[in-house]
Amino acid sequence: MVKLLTIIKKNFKILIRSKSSALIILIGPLLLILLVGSAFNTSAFSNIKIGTYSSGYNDLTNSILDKLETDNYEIIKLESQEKCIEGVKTSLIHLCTSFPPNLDANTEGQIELYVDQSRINLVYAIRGAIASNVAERSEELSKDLTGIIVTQLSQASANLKEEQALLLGIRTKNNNLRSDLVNMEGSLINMNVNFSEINLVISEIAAETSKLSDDLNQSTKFEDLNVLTKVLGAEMKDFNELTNVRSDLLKTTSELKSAILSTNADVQKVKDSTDFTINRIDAIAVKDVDSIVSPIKTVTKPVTSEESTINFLFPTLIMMVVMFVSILLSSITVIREKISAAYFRNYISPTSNALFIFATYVTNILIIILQLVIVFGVMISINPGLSGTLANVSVALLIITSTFILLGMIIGYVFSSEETATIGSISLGTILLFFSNTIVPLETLPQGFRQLANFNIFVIGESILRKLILFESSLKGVTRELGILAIYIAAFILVILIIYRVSSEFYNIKKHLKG
Amino acid sequence: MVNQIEIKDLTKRFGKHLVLDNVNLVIPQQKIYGIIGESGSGKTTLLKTIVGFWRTDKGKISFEGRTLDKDSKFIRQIVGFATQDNCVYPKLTVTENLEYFGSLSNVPRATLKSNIDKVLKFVELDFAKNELSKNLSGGMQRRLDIACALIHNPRVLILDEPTEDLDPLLRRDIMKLIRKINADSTTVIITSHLLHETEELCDEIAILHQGKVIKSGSPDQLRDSFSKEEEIHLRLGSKKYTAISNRLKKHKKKVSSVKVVDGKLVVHARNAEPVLIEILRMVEHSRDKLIEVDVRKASLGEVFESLVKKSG
Repeated sequence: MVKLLTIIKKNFKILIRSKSSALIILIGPLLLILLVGSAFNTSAFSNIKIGTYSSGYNDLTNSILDKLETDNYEIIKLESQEKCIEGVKTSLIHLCTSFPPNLDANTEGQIELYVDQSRINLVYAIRGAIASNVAERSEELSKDLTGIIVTQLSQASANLKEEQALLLGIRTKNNNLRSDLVNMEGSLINMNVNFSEINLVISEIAAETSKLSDDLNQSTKFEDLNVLTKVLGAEMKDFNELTNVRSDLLKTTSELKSAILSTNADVQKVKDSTDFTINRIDAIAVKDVDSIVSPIKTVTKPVTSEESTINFLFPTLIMMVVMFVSILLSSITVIREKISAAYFRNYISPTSNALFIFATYVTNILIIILQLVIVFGVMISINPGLSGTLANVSVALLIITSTFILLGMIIGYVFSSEETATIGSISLGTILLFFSNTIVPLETLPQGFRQLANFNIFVIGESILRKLILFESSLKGVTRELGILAIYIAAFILVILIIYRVSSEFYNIKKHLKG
Repeated sequence: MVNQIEIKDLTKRFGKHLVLDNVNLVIPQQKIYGIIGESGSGKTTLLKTIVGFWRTDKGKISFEGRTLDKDSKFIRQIVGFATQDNCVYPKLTVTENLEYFGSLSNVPRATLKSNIDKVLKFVELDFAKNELSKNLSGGMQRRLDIACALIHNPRVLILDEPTEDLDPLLRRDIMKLIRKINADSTTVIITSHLLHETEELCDEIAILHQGKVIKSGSPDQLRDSFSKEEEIHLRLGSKKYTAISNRLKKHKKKVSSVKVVDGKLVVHARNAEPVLIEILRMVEHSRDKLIEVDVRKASLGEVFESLVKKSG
């Protein structure tokens, strides 16, 4: 323990007596926080120039551009599409929007956006803003068109309902008619048209008249009687015709009844059909135009109550400070010790290598804790809400920082000069930063890289801090991530113990051979 | 005499380059043992290997009967090492350096302060104890380095080229210091390519050439192995030696060679005394001014040169 404290004390004395190092270590992170804090304290874009070109601007295009202008984008109308594209290439404008002439709902052309893909984050942001503006106008148009359709449908439904009343009237009239026919048929059927007795009477009259005629020698009276008989016979004939007519009428009424039944069936069919159509129209649950145009509405709501960008950038910011400072500081501490003349005396002293390694680790962690105290002090003064998560964050940061320190120590043992170790540290830090969500979303990387990036210490650390700081999660919620870091720590310790001896021997052989 | 260190068949390679080739040495206790050799002969490698800084490829190293591979901690505890690079922290003061290395060498906290005072007085640096070591002069830095090597009262002190890059006065101071350390019952192993000072300082010397020990023994043994003759060095005010030279050359039985080297007459004789009387008589007769006269055996330089030439 005494030896450990002596080594740490020595490390601190050397560090403090190197004024530039002390200044960088104490002031560096504070400066970084202040700079980033003032730079990222707002999430809005400013001075973004959007170039536009259209051979025919109309109300729609102008309204889109007006909306963009109200959103603080500077709109520059250019004379040709080529000039517009050239403007992006020469950074005169940030993005070029080419509208088809007289843009409306029936326009076949598309709105074309020309972007500089090398400024990928900015491109995503502006493209998103323009797309949302165009989508807004497009939605308004859709609403108009859909409104017309919905009104027409409602009208049709109302008309059908009216026609249905007429159909019902026809059916009622038909039924009445049929009822009359049935009555008439009944009357016809009930008519007594049995004239056989009259015939018999006529025959008997004729027979008796003949007898009488014979008897009375053809008196004129008989003539009259014959005439009467003939008249009766003629009447009888008429009666018989009436009977035929009645039969015909009965046949016709029967046919009419069938026709009315058939018409009623048709009317029913038409009614059923209109019922069905009306029901279908009525069954359309969403008749609100807004709901038809945008059946699913999305509203972006923050999951945290943070308002300033600096607050939700804080985990990333802390990770950047921790990563770069830990890797650089530990690699430089190791390399300085390795190349110092005193290294030999340390090495041949009766002190174990593990103690020197541990002392280097403790020195670095103490320095970084000191820096984090400064950073957190500043951040808590800006956002007092952070103090609630401080205990969990401290535990997590201890583990994250330890991982980076051990990684930096490996770099220090691998390289043999301060310059190469510094380049190595910065390169490694940059790689870790690049394959994180900070530069480009991980989701844009190919599957293989994305899977690898999930094991990136920076990504893991950032995820832990985001959960703890922004979502106020407990340490239990980040057990998996902390477990992965613990595995890294164990692996790094093993690597350091292996390379400590090999690295110093390799370095000294090189030095010896050069000498 | 008890042997402090025994080195047996020690071989060390750096890649394909053979640096130490079957080195065998026995270093007695409480003596000053010198290792001389040209630059690149393997002196520093030998010293760093015997304290375990370099791993051996072959061979055995033991201190007081305990081997390096089994008892490295014990060996590091009894050995102090001062290199030619001044292994101290420039941004720590003299006292802080001693505190640090004392603590690493398990000096108890209670005795550390008294050890520091003692060692600073010993190396005559007590007046600069609060100075940052980077502000010390070359000689003071070398003394601080030796002080750091002595802070835990080692039984063996290894000094790698302790007088390298120092002016003659500082060199003399360091040599005085080494004698003082040895007088305090510490075995001193010293490497140097300054043969004259090694000859003056060391009880025993090993000559290392191309990684091999080509000869070892006391300075007298080494000189005797080269030649049993004595050397008379004479410097006259006129620097005219022709008369004396011609006269001496006639005494071929007494005098084996006469030559003028660097303005001095150098005469080799099996018995110097009668020849010297003769020379002084001639000087008196010529009335020339006698500047310097010295009788010595063959120098270590000559022995070294001869042995190196022989071994190729």
